[in-house]
Amino acid sequence: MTNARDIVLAAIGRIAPEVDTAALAPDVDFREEAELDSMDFLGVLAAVQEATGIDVPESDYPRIVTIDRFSDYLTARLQPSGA
Amino acid sequence: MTTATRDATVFAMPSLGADMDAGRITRWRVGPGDHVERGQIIVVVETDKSDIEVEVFQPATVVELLADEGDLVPVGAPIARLLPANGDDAGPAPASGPPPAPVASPVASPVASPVALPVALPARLPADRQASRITPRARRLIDERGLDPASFTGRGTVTGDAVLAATAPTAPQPAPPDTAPPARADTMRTHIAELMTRSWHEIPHFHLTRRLDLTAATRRLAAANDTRSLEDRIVPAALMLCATARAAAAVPACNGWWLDGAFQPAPEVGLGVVLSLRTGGILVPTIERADRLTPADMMARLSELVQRARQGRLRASDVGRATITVTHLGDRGADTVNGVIHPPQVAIVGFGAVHDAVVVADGAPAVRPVVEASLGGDHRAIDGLTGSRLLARLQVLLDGPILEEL
Repeated sequence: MTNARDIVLAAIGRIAPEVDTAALAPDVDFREEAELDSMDFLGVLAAVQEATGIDVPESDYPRIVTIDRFSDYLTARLQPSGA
Repeated sequence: MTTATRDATVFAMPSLGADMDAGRITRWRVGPGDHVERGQIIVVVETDKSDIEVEVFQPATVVELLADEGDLVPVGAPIARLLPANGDDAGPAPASGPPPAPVASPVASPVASPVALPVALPARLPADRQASRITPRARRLIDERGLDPASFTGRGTVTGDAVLAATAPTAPQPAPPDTAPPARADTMRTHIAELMTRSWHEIPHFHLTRRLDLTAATRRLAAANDTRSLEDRIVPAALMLCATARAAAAVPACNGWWLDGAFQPAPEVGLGVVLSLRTGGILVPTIERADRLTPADMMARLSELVQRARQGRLRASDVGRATITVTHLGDRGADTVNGVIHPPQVAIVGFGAVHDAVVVADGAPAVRPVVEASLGGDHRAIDGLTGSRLLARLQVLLDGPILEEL
């Protein structure tokens, strides 16, 4: 099963194909690093939703601004219902 | 409206930007006998600046294709014959969508604005299409030298350099195929350079700025988005585009074109939207009748334009004639942008990044979300007072009417 981090990186890569997602620092704001504006960020969330079914509410945005935190967030939300 | 005639109508090469004289048929998406629905893309046309997907606006059956892939066809010349499905006599609608274009004839040759927007793209094309791609510069060189284009294809993208290399006495070999994206980007760069230079040379610009307080807008937007699923969420940029379009309608002196030494007001608002491409360059599609869109409609339109721009393919209905342009740097941008007018328009509105700033509220300092809005005006057509009126209108709209539609 694909882990949450891979899902996040794939989503960023889809919106910013020219960015080497593997080289993104896990603990800094990836919107800054990958130069994602709010439209791009929505695109990333849409890609994550496609992969996981998780719709991240806007009020949770501050909790998902780094790759580490986004991965943890997804993992936590996937677990209760998940296998 | 009646079925007076079931005769086929001619579908002509549309004008996809005002400085377009001809377009090259890149790919037919339909063939004789095919039924096409309203809005279906029937052909991809390459202009000097970009590939554009051309739609039909009426259901029809394709009778005959009158041009081959690779053909360079003048604007207005027939490229296909279509039989309208319902016998409607209108034929395929203008390729510029349902815009202010005064098209009475059944031929799709709308929008003859004097200057095109810099529509172009450093697109990454699928490999099968790269195989036979010839850049505009390469085509020019091939034509000038009386060469056979076919002798260059099948070796990846044919660039101007490749043609020069092949015809140079010392180096008769084609360039490597991986030079394609730069060539495409160069074309766009050239086009932007020409348009902006012309603007700066011809137009006596003045710039006004005004800080807009987005406290109300931010609060209402957050409340609205909180209950919305991802696909229905709206970003602040959509509100600013709505406000700009409506302000332009409210201050018509800023909405139109400087033509033949006089200002010509536009009957509608065609909002040119500068989209920065992640790989460099800009695309400026037009949102027709933008002043009539709700924030949700604006957001939907903006999303699809960004998506198409990213894929490197705008549609004919995306490149109508703009009456005013807005440049929005996005939330990662600088605080302020003083834009360069896209001739023959007379105004450009700019928005920097939304940020928190200390402002005076009720006589005391307060931290508020703000955006620095600017207006670049053509001083031949408008004055500072007129421009100020438009900027003032933005604040009014962003405090009230637009928020009520959220």
